Amino acid sequence: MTAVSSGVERREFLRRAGMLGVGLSLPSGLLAACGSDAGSGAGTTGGGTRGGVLSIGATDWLPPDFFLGNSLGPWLLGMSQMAWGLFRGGGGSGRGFELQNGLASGYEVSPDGLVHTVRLRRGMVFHDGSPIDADAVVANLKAAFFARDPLRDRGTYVQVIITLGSPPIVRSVEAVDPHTVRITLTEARVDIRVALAFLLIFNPKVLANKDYGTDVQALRDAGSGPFRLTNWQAKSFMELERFDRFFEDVLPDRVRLQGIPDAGALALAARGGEISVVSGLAKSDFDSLSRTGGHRIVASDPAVNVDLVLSKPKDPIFDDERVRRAILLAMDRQAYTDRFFNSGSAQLSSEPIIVDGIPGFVPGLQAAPHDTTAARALMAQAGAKSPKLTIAGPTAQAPVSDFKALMEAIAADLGAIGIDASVDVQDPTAFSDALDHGRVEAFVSAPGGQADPFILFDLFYRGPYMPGATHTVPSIARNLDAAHKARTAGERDRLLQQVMRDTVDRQLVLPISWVAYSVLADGKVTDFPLTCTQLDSWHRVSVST
Amino acid sequence: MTRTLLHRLAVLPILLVGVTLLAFLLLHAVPGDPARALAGGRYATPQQIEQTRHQYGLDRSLPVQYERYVGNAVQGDLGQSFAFQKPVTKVLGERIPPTVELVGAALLLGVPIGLLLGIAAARRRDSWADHLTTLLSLAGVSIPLFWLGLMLAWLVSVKLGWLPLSGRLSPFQSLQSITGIDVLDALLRGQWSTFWDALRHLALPAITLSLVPLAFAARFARASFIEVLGQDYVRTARAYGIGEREIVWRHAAKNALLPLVTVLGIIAPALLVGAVLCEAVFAWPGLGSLLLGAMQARDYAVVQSVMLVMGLLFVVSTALVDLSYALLDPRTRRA
Repeated sequence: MTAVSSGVERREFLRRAGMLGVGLSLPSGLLAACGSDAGSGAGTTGGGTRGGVLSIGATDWLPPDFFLGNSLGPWLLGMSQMAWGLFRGGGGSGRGFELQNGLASGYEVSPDGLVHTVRLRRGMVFHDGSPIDADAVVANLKAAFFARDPLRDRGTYVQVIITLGSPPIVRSVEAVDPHTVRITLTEARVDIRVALAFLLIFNPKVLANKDYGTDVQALRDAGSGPFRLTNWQAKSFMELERFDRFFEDVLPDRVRLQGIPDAGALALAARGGEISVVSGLAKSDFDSLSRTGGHRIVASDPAVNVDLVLSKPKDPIFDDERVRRAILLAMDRQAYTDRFFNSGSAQLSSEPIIVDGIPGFVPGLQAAPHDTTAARALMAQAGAKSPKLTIAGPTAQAPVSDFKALMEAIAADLGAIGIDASVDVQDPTAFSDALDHGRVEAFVSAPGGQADPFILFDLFYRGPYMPGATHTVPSIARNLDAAHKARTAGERDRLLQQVMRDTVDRQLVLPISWVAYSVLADGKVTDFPLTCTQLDSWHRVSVST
Repeated sequence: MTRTLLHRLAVLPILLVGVTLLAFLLLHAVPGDPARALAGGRYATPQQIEQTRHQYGLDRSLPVQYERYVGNAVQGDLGQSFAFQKPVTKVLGERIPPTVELVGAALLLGVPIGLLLGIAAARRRDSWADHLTTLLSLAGVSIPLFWLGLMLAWLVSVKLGWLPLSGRLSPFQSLQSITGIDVLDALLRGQWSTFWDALRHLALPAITLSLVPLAFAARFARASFIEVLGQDYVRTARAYGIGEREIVWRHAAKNALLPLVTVLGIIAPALLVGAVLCEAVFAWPGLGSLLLGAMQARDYAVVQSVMLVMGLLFVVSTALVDLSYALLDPRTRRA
């Protein structure tokens, strides 16, 4: 038996892991997903049907602070129809996490990893007809990177913080020529396309307008994407129309995003045909609609890793690796996988934090079996006598539609090996606060939906990246640091795999399931894309009229 | 009457301070840090959180925060919404009209029907009308509105396809706002198809919510009419050969309906509570859904202000009840 480093250190990084789990999972209850298309045809521009209205419903995804220009978070799928980033989610036939060119046509990195050059497509225009050139892109990037920039808004710049640090490791951004942007970093990076993909490019002339964001009219000309915003009400709905001067063919005439906060009403809206694509249903409604309602499942490859994290147990017995292994064996994870996720969207996982396709994933690891007898034996070996453990969690957390039931099932299984486990359901803000203040003993975490391994690993182990920060777990921190500064993708991947092996060997986080995001689409819609980067574009979706 | 009015006006500020103070204290007692959420949640650095805390005055002591809120509120400034990133007055300005529309429609629908049912039940005790009224009254106070809403939506919208389920207007309908009440605005602008569309969208949530006033009105009308119809002057009227219809509507109604004014004063604020659930089911962007979201996000200024509005409504409606009494009942005036 080996205790995990010092208890304090382990608890500290697990607390941060908790922060990541909540952070990455809450916004991702949307259509964010990784992988496949809905239907056939791989969404080729020439193969789709032009026209029609694409109506999409979800429980909670329409931001109240829509107008906060360029700091928008990654979960704003509606925004990414109106404005594109330099790169965007892999669509078409891609099932992995790879990015495609968005407004960019090319990307190069200098051998020292410090200079990143982005070439722009030619002939692109904003929705007011002004050119999307290097100057416009530089204006957007500067606002995102530099706190004193005049275009900087009141947003949180989450993606910049988690991918490039706070303050970001950016020395300068400049226009080399009208179609080339150069970004110079202070620390080497192999690839910064993920960070750039999440920075949507807006018309800087409109952003500079004092009235920007005060009404829909002020937003009409701001975008760079395939659809122009025509109407919007905070947390209620968003309506967009085709922008004919977009550089690719845009198939739907119009798009309507409808927020319906009640999951039951959302299911009814889908049944009644008010919406064609629906996300955020309860599992029972999802399964029932997919069987009988004329809807089909649009699922991705696994994109989220659902884990059990022992963040700060009061009883020090949980520092014992044997006890943590016993918990892993006691959980009937196959049953959870079958019961708590949408049909066909989950599989038993063998390693936590990341999923297959993200650098750091270790192929070939075997999932631990469900073995209560062995678990009881481990508990006895460790001398554990009815330790108490509270599993806390929010009322809802994607991709689990019945979060409380999952936590109760885990608690019941832990009870079978002598752990006195209870469940504490809290509202999301209270839970987040409890995590921040170290009041959560254990929780179910669901990180994922991200292409950049550092977003997942870094935040899991040490919180937002700050250059020069001291890390908490020596061996993992060493490897993570080295991976950050790796000059080649191969070297980076090897180091991250070592981090994963450490995580699995020491039972630092207990894996439960790999889960795909899934939505339902009715018969009117084909080629609905789902990508792991949460930057899907719906311009190639066919809607039969 | 003037004294009643002055008394109400004098009590008003005390009540409003009480309501906002209660909301303020309860909200701050619940765990959750809006500054952290605003600064980027778990991604935020401690410096960013502190900066945000300072920016919104959350680093000050609770008494100072409350004093600032009340001081500004008196001047018409209800503060800045954390979640919406704009003044609370603007947010409320957008959200109050839809709720007024919904609650108003529910009252207009529920109260007359409830009255008629209550009167019918009182006139024919132990008849099927009486049993139906009792059943509806019981249902109105005991059936959860969200459940009823979902059932109605399933039947009327999904199965029968008669009415739309969510939102206030059909997709891509445009309506220039005047009052913010879509049905009224469409009428004022002469957009008849939009008026019809708004009415169809209003129907289901309004029918759902109307069960509350219907139940209240029916119960009170029944009880009140039973009492009044048993009184001597009614018996005398019958002895004089006056028709039953005239007795009920001309003589009994005056006395029987007086207590209903009190009920209406209670129903209006209670409907706001019902609207919270109704708005969530029917994706109705009103005050109820705003309050729900604001509580989850710890959007202090919005929660306090919605409570303020609700408190104000309660005080105003009870004041109106008193005034109505004074107008309708000469005995009260004399007293």
